[in-house]
Amino acid sequence: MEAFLAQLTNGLIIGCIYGLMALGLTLIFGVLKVINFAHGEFYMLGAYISYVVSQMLGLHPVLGIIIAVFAVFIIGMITEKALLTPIYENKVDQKDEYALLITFGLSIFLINAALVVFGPYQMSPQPLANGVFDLGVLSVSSGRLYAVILAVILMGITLFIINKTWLGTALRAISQDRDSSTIVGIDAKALGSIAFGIGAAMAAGAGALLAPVFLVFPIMGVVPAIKSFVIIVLGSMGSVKGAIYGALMLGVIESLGVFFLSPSYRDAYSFLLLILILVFKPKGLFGGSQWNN
Amino acid sequence: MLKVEGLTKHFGGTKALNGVSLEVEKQEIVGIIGPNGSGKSTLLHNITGLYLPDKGNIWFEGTDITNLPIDKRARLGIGRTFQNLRLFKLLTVWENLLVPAIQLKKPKKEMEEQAAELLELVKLSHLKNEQAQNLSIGQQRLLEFIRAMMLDSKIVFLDEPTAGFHPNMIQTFIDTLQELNRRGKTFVIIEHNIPAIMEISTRLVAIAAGEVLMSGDPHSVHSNPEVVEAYLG
Repeated sequence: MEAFLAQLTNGLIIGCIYGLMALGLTLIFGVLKVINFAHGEFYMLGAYISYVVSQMLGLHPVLGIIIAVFAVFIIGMITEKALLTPIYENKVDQKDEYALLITFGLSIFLINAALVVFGPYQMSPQPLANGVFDLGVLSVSSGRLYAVILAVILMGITLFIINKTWLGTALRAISQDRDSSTIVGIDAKALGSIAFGIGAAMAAGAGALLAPVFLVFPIMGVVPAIKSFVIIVLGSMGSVKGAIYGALMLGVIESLGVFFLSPSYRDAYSFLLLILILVFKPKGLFGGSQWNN
Repeated sequence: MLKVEGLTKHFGGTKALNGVSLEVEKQEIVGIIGPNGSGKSTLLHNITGLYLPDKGNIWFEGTDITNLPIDKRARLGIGRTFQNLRLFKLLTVWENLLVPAIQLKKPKKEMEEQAAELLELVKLSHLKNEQAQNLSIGQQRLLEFIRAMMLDSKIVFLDEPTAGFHPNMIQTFIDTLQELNRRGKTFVIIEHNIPAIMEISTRLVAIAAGEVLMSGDPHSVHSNPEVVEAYLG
């Protein structure tokens, strides 16, 4: 029973952090209608930046996470402006294909840049905290517990921005009808860059939080990115609520698979889930495709 | 206030606008009438930036806005509504009104007071927390109308604003429009509801086949034989 609870807790913790990443992906898709294939590499960038700040510069790991989030927010905005602007200026005919190829190219570029700068080695950043938090029937590593608390805080900040601020109202308006938002004076290009920056920053936050758990290396973002795609398909493309619930479900299903079946196929459980969802419920568990729900 | 000169727009081989010239003075209410396909909406799309003209120029308060992006025109003070409603249907009535807030450098309290006052004017205050998609068509039209006012638009283009209105609502719309006009707003209205446009307009412009047929006092335009032949039958 104790081992089962430990796995379940672990699943919820990992699910929360995947939720952060998936929320970023769904935010970018909702506002820009772009599937960001470089999302995993923003996760990787976040992990490397937090590693550099905490290990190389010797600052506190929490500061590393905060710097990673802000740095990738800026990098995300610049990237969107530099690479995705042609879509909104009608300079490309096949907009979806262009977005897919350009973000895929960016992903390859960032992986190779990380290889050149840091090499192919796995690096182990300092955990957020040492020791174990005793909850009676089960114990949780303090590092993971702090990670999930920070993930929930970051998700909370994002949800607050989306639902309670004028920026969020404008972003939700753009996600529904970009042309109409410009008619009421919204600078959809500028706000689109901000949305991309926030989405990339959330991936970076997830990467920085999970870096001490899964280590830091150039292709570390590939599997989490695919899991984010699983989550947003599971939770219905573009649904904020779906991204959060989908992430928690994925985390739990993975952990239960590890407990009841085998730890060797941890990643296979999520892909099996993706196939089942696509076959039996192609619109996802939450039905709609609106970023606003 | 607004000057359109020699506006021409083609769609493939079809000439939708053929050298349209038009001037609108501050605080006018200009009605535009014409048969379907005469170029009324195309003219409006060109002025508000949804289309770029092939030829011609548009000036707003002395600034050439011919190639300005839509959002910049809106922030200069050009608002509009659509023939086919373009509300943010999943946002609440209140949120629809506050979408432009992020772009304006106004205090939150001032924006909210403005939104509340506009809702009061069109008698929709009780629906402020309702999603826009749950409103009747008439209520949605009124909401789109006051949303266009939230930017402090100096001139507002209304494309068939009374289509789908309950008769009672037409009067609410006319009262609101005239009140806003008294406060200094300028309106250009495309409308097929002739009694309504005759009541509201201070000037009528008749368009046919992408050209301005006549512009002047609503009654003289309405009874002009050329206009009658082209549109009123």
